Amino acid sequence: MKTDEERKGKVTSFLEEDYDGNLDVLHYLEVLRDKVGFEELSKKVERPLTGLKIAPYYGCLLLRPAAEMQMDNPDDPSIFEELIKALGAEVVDFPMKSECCGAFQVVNSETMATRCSKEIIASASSRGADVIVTACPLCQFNIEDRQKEIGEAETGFKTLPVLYFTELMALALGCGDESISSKKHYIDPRPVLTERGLVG
Amino acid sequence: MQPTSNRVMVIGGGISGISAALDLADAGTEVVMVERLPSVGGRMLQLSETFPTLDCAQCTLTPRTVETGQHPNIKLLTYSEVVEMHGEPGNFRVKIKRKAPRVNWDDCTGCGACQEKCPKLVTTNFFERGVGTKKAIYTLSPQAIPNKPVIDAENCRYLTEGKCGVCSKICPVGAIRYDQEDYYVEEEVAAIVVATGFDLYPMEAMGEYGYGKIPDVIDGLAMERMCSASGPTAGEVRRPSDGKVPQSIVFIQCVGSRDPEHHKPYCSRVCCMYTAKHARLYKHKVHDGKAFLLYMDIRSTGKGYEEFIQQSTEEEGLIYLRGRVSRIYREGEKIVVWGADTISGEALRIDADMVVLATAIVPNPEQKALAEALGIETDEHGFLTEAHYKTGPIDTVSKGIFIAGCAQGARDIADSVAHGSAAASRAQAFLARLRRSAA
Repeated sequence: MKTDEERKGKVTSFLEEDYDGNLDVLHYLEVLRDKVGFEELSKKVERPLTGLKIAPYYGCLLLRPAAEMQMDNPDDPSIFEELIKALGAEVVDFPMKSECCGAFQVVNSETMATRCSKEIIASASSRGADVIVTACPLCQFNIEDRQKEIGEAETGFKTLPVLYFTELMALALGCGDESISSKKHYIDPRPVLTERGLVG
Repeated sequence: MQPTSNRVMVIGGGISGISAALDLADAGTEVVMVERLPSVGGRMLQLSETFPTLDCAQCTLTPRTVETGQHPNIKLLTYSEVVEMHGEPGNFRVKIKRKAPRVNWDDCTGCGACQEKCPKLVTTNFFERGVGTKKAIYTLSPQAIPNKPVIDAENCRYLTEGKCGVCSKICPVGAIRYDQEDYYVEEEVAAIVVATGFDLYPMEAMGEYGYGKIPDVIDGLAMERMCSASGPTAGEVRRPSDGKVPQSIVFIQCVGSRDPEHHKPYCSRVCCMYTAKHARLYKHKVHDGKAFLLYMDIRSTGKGYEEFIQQSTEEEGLIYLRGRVSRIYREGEKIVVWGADTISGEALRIDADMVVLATAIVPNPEQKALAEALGIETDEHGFLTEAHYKTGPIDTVSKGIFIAGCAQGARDIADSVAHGSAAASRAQAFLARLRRSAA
């Protein structure tokens, strides 16, 4: 809307409304970084996630296409890592952090989606992550849900809890143990959080 | 207008500048050669064997550098940089910074004892590009012209910690001068040839290839140093992280070149050839090693080049894959290369021991400031701009200033030599015209 006059014209004529396109579209992570500030956020942390090893999963579309998203460098992003550090946890860097999880192909090709997710989970696991954190509900659902199938196909597969980033924020900001619900997750994140002394 | 001097300055002592200087000097013109590094030879001095003949770069270059050093008509100012220029065509006054080698070159005999005994091993010397080590007092090569060392002030123990002084103690003629300082000289010349060469596009700018942070992902010049018999590994291919001989190497072409959206739009012209050469040299050294070459397409337009590529694909056992790479990362001891085979359309994954990136040719970062000092133009990429694309490829907008070699645009050795000779010819014609108009 901001950069393409022709497209703006199409949208406004469809809407039959004279919208000037001047609203900023921001991701919640951007709000945290640019409006709140991670340093400010870290001051509000009541229960630092000390010792928790978090693999930040960006997924394919949070940062791409870079020119449109204008959020972070898709080849070497840092916004998620900064959030994790602000919450007092440990960042686990892994090469699959901006690969596609395959969620878009679940209906067409479940095996492909499973294969994509498996690469991501295995990569995070092999680098010692306790949990994967996503910034997209679909990624969160997909990567968690695929682990059923992987677990059935492979004996000895080690499951990895997958959390949405706001869940961990709530925990760190002192919203209490109920911030993380066992029921909402196929892979219960509570055992590892208990082990790290973060929920009691 | 009466020229105050009949001399020509050649800025840059690489193969192009050397060719210009020798042609001018042989024709009886006095030449002042200014070279930024401690000795002449330029990029070619870093190379191992050269395509398409696979003859040794040192062997073909050394006779030319020796001649440059000994020619009665060539005044050599190495470890020096042009900082300012005044005057007009025919009467240029050029201010030159003479960097302090911290060794009295007049007394130094080039015996090499200081280099041998220096206790400090430096891994960051620019010339070796992260391959092997150099001492904190060094010459660029065993056949350096001039064969005089310089002290690497950032790494010298005496200069950084105040103790050591081994080179000073060992030097049989007492030539070490830790407190030597830079100074400036001025030279009067009638014409100038600018042949300041090239650099490689930094790996740090390439996110998908690991931003230069993965030690076993190296660039083409690092591979040259590794393959060079007189280089830091004495020609052994060993990966930087653990010194192991790689059993598989992935070579990636067009890294930063031909990528107008992210990097450089142009073709760097030499990468197809030197990548084939690298892979062949590797196979000659590691017989059962696997060499994968990922290319966009093969551009082998020089004389004998296509034949070299044909031989590479058919007889040398190289594995050519048309493909692009989207990600390189470390997995245990392996370097994983992810991409697409653009012929089959399949995803591609190679678990390699080392990766060599054929990064784009770019001008030296200092070139822009030099061009400004000389009053000549650079293009959007920083290459020197010729007066006319077709009919004036050596002239510039400033009369009496000529350009040669990769400073003007990417080219191979043979073309750089020809370009250098052409610049000598243009400079001669300019001098002759000056003399005629003065008479």
